[in-house]
Amino acid sequence: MKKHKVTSLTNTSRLFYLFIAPWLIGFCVFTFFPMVFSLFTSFTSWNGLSVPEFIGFKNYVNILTKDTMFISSLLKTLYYVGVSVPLNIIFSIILALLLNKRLPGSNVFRSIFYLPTICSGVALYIAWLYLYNQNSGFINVLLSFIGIEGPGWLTNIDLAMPSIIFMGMFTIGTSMTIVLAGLQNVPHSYYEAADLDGAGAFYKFKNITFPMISPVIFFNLLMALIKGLQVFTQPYVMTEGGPANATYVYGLHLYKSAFLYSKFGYASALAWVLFIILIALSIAIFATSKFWVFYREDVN
Amino acid sequence: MKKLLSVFLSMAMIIGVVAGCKTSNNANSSSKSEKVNLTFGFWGDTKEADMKMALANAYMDKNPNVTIEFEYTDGAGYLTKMQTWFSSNTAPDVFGVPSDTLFQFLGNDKFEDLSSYINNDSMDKEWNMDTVNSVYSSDGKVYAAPFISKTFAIAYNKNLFDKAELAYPTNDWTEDDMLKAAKAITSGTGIDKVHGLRWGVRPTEFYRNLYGDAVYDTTTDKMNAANNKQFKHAVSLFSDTIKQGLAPNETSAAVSTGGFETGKFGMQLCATWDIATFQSMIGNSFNWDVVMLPMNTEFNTRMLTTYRGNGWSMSSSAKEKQVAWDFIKFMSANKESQKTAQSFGIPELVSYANSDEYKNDFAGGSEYNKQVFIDMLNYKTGFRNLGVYAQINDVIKSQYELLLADKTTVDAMATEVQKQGEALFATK
Repeated sequence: MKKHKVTSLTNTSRLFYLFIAPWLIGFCVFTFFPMVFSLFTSFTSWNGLSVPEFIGFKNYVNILTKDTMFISSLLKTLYYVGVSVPLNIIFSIILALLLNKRLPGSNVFRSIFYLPTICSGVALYIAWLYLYNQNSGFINVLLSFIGIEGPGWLTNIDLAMPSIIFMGMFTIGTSMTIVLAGLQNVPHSYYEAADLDGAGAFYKFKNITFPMISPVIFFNLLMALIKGLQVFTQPYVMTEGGPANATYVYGLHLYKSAFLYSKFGYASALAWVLFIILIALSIAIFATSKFWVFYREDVN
Repeated sequence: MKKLLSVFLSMAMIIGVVAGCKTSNNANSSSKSEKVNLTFGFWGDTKEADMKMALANAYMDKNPNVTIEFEYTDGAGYLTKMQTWFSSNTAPDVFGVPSDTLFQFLGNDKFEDLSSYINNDSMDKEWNMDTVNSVYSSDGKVYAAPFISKTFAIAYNKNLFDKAELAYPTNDWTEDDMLKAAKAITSGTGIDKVHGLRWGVRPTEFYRNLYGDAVYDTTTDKMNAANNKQFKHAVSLFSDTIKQGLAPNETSAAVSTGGFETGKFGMQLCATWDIATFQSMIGNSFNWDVVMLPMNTEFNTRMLTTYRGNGWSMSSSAKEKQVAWDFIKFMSANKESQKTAQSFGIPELVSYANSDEYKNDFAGGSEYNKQVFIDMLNYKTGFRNLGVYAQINDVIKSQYELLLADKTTVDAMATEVQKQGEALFATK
């Protein structure tokens, strides 16, 4: 049979590109081109007002060799991620397991656990500011009923970051819902077979439940990592990076470099460094996934 | 037919996306009857924002052909907003400018030079040109027209003073008097605690130049922290009062205790823009008044207030410049407008600011010693919150917070501030 070289798009192809055009245009205008512009400005010195001045890799060199707040803010961010992400995963699994038991009232609790996720972030953080207030906050008032003088949750250098992490635990509704969906896709026949063999709850979780929901846990882990490394709003609203830089995360350093210190080029470089770190960590997680993430088609 | 429908639907989607983009304003009206659109950028808390919108609405009532679109942001985010406007060339036609950030934009061609407008309309008869020249001008170019000035004073709760059997403070009171009063008033614990003082988030701004010897010199870009007795005293004043429980620690966290209006503070470092809140929230729950910042007997000077001039600028890319200027004049040189704004700052319209009408007008709220804020203009200091100065301010703040946590001493803090500040100035 003769092969004909394709020299033009088929009608179907043309329609395809026509239909994805709105999204493609939006992606280019609002995501791709800004990324390219950000990459360009990362090689310039630019205060946002004058014409950017090309300075090569100087911004990146300064980040890695001179900027003490780069390391400090990165470590604070990794601390936040290192504690909040595992807690996020663990508690979302626990809550999903409980909700999966389909006891009376499960639907109500599902809504209650999901509700904080749909509340406006800033409004939620301001509400928590009132809860954490040292003198009149609800938490310390409750503690005072049992004779404990509550600390300054956000004004104590050692407690500020744990307080922000603890607050984040109330917004695990999305992760919990995704795990719950994964749990509901686990075939009951596996549990029935395990019951027949006399398997206990822990055995069933370790050998059936966890492997079966490992893809959703992998997804949650990746999403939580990306979100955690970009943390900004909570410290910005609640502590402004204090006290004494205890909550001065990378996102805040990036923001201040641009909008307070008027170093837009430097801030762009910080953004790309974060992007590279994120890519590296994501690749590492993908690399480890072959040891603990099981897809049903692979098992079959 | 199906194909035609598909093509039509996809074209409709594309057109919808493109139509969402802003179209250029082709208006080039020169007469009052033609429709004019102005964009108006401003900041403020709820009450101040309401005031500014009221001014704009009043202007639109008088000029029905003018439509003003608001671009509002809260005070904390306004700086970011300005940076974004200028870097993206989207500054509103008329926008507010705080005097502490204007320095960063000097030489910027995005501001319309208002000097010809001021000269043509003889605005030197309406405004204090010393203020215009010193605060809003540089190299002969006028960047903004003055609107109101904002200073700080100490508000005091008369009921709490009576309860502690203290005489009310007078303008010749001293820092020691203030601290004694704070100690006498402070009582209780937890939710029932009454603090003698409230600094709010101001220490990190005030300690930079509380008595006249600033922690850094903005004309020479030199640090002056390590051997600066006044700076160390200022830092100690704020940190000691907080550590002793006389004032709450609100340095890092956003204000969440509720302020002077709750009746739980004997005194508060308050600004002109707090007065509207006090008048509406306090009502008859307690009596209060304001007094000048106290004298420091060691340095033989009164504590200085940070000064904020609020002006109105015109974008150089505004299409209807004359209308924009007319709107600026309406806000800054119209007696009724200045009357509306007087709960938030000292009016810049000289004839009104000097009148008995202004001094006796409390906008229907409780009376207070208005002259105090005016007199504090004689004890003002500027400050800067952008660029390398913002970096140095952050260094000082983090060291101050270490001091509050007893993780450093005042001398060590000053030395570290000197060292890091010098390194930052060297990179400028």
